[in-house]
Amino acid sequence: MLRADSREEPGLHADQQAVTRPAVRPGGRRAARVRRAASNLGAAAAWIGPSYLIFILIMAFPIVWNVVESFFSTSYGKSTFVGLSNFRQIIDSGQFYSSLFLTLYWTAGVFIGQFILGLLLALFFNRQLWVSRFVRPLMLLPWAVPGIVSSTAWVFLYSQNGLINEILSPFVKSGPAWLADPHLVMPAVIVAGIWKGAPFYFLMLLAGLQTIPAELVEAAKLDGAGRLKILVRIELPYIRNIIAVTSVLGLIWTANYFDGIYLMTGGGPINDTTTLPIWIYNTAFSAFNLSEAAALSVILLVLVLLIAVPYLLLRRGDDDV
Amino acid sequence: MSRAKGLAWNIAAVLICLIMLLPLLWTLVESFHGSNVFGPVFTAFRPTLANYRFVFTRTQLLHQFANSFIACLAATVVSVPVTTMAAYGYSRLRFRGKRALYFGVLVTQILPATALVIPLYKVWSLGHLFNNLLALGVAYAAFNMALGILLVKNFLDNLPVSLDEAAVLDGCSRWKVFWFVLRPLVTPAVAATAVFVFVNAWQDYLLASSLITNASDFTANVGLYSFEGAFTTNWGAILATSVLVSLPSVVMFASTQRYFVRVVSGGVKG
Amino acid sequence: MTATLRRTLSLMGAATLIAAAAAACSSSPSPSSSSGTTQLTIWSCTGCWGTTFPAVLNQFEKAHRNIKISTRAIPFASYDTVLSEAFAAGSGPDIVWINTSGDYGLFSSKGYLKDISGSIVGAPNVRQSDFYPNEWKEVVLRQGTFGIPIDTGTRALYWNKTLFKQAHLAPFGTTVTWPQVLNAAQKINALGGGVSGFRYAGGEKWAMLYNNIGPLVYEAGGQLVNNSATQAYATSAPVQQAVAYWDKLIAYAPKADITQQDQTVAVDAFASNKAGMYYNGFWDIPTMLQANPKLQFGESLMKDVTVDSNTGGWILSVPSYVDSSKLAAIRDLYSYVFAPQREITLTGIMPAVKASTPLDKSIEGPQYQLFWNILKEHAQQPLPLTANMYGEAIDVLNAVESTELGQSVPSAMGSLQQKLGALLK
Repeated sequence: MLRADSREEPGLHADQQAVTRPAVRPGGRRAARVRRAASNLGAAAAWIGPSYLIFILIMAFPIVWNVVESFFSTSYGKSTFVGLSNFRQIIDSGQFYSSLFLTLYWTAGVFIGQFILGLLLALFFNRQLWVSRFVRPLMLLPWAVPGIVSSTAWVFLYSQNGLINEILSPFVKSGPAWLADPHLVMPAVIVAGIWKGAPFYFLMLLAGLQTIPAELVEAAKLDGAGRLKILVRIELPYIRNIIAVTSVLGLIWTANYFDGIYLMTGGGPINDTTTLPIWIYNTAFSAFNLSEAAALSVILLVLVLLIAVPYLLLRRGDDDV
Repeated sequence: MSRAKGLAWNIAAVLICLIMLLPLLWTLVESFHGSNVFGPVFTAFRPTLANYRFVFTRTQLLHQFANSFIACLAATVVSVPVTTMAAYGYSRLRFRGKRALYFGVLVTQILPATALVIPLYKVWSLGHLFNNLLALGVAYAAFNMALGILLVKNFLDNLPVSLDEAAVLDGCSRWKVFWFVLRPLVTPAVAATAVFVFVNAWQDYLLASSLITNASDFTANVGLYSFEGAFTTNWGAILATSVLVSLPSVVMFASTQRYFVRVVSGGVKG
Repeated sequence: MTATLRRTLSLMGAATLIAAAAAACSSSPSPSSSSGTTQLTIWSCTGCWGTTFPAVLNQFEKAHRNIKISTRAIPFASYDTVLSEAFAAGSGPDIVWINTSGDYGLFSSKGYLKDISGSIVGAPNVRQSDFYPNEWKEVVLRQGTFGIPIDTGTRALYWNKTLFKQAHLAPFGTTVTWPQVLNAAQKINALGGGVSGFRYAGGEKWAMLYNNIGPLVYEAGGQLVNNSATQAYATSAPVQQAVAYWDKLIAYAPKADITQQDQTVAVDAFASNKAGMYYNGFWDIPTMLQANPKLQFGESLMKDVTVDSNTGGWILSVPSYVDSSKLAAIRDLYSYVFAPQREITLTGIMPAVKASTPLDKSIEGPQYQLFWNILKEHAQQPLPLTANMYGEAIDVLNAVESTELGQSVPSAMGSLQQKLGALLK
């Protein structure tokens, strides 16, 4: 596969040296670094350019628009600059702290649940089973199924005569109306959310677990290590990069998740499930107040950045996620 | 992985799968129920293909499936090379602003699609891109870019630079190193990216319903939601259609499964 | 330039060319006038216009060679979403179906819709005298007229004759009293076997306002907010009475209905003889009969008063970004489609045009009679059609929901009064 190719391009030396050894060239090491950086910039443009081009074409304007619009107020086609007024209105509304709390509650609950469920499933399926090739694709279904279908199914399950209350009937005389009870609705919706997203973690963690050399685990077993110890001391650290990648994405996606909650409760009885994404949707498409929706989006952006930035700063030493 | 396990484990696997899919089993069963799908499940249950017959003969579903395929394949075809190359850039190159750009990749994921769709509509309007399935595919690629970049970069990071160096010493240019040495080794990550992009694009409703307004260009998911009407909702058709709409994702994953299993040729540390 | 960069650039160039070619091939033509031809685009939701409407548009095009019409049907689930996007972007349809529950008031008060009182109102077939007075009243706002009513939206109480017989209840007449309804709900609920006395969609704010709370408040002789949107009456006796009664009534409905957002669940339950009564519009009649052709039902009103006879109904509007050069063509189209024999095709049921009613064969039958009677009676909006109506609707819904979940009516109404006061000032 590797073809001996004697043709050498002009820029190769600098790149090559970035991969192997620092250069010793006129100007000293600082000049060499600058030269490397400059030629690397050209290479970077080639490799990263296409992805950033697509980002800029599609997502730059929407993101920037949201930030800009949050400082304006639009009505009758005219936009007037209102500074922080939108933000002030949002924070002063009784809704703000509640939605903030619900967003955090939802994100934490769903993320932890999805991770644990995904991990348990991955651990179970990390062995040779001939049914795997049929069962694994099916396990993707909760995530691959359209939102309207999974929401309807769960609403049905949670209804007073639904399956869940039926299962509980030997223990509880008449089960509650899960989605109508202010205290139960959030846990109920979180369970449905865990179910929907767990396949992503299942697949990722399973792929990670399968890269662990069998000898490592065998050796540990011979040393007398228990299952839990193997998991915590060997398997999880081995796949910590996959865990990190999956977690960062999973956290962000969970924080801005909208579909399932909205289709199941529309924001819940009296805003009991109105997380920030739901609030954004209602503000934009039910109240048609686009400026306020943009301000809410900026708040969500800042909130997630506040969580993500410390995490990324912590991993500074490991050279990015 | 250890040696093949016996029957008990396999049965357990199937049971676990069934329990996980329990909410969807109701969907499947009821799709064979004529009407009144919210009624009792088992009394007077006469399986009928009426819903499926309706969906195949009286709707545009097959055509909408084709539309979905075009958009999702476009998304995947654009996504895979672009993200793989970008991942190489983030993994192997050192340049100023790399950390900021990489962080920017994550930032694009933070705002929910509901916040982005209004200005995106304006972009589409200025570019006259409505009802353009390929443009929709590019939009899907953009929205799912971060996943691919993170995944593949992570895999690349696990491949030691010595592999690159060996190839370079053999006289390979950077591109050849990427194409001949690294690319085959990141197949699991690339396969995962392809599947996730496809599935995410396949089940999207918000973008498809906003950016495609011509009924003949509707995707399958939009067609599914069309059964929910202003006055009446054809639940039988919805359930039958959802069973059908869920299949391609499963098939897609099933057929690319083997790429997820990484063949490790000893000594490559994670 | 490295080989990689060259390769990348050429690939990107190729991709751009392909994309541009694809865009040129399949994008929709921009609606604009060229050499005297006016291009009009009409948007509606899937299944919202009558099945014979496209034929009417074809005839119009043949009669007007210089006008070309294209139509788009948006799935109902995303109709509001896509409309907001089009209005915000300033590009989209030239004529559009607008729903009256909330949408009309909100869109018009935010300036998304064009005031057509000078340009289209008064055209042949589009005069005030052509329409039912209560219909016309609903589209004329203080700031202008922003649409022409297509159909009506009157609502009544449906009661299930089969279940009434099973519960040994005397059938309702055309009017009933509150205690009668409560008694019937209780007896039917006692039948058991998954049968509920009453059903509703408690999570859908407009359905709650226009179907349930609004009518109850009016029947009690009061109002939630005054017409000029300056004063709220949440703590008044009629409102408290209505809410207290409502809480008693819903005790005979499944608890899950408190957050149910889908009206069709109640419709389906009623059609399959699993619900004794529910409150909704005439448009459910074809749906129910399709689900259960043998369904036996009647309609009643608790009083000859209805809340807004236009809700659930549709209005034909023109977005504000539409260029005034198109107004002449739009005016012609309005005159054409609102002619009595064609107006029926706009929706197929209960047209807003007086002269259409005798021509509409689909609404013949005694079950529609009550709705026509209501139309001639006193009709009113539960909330004035202002920019704040969304906030007000949410506050009312939340307050009612909290009483449904156990909060006392006076305290819930007290805090509602405060919230509404803040919005109305």
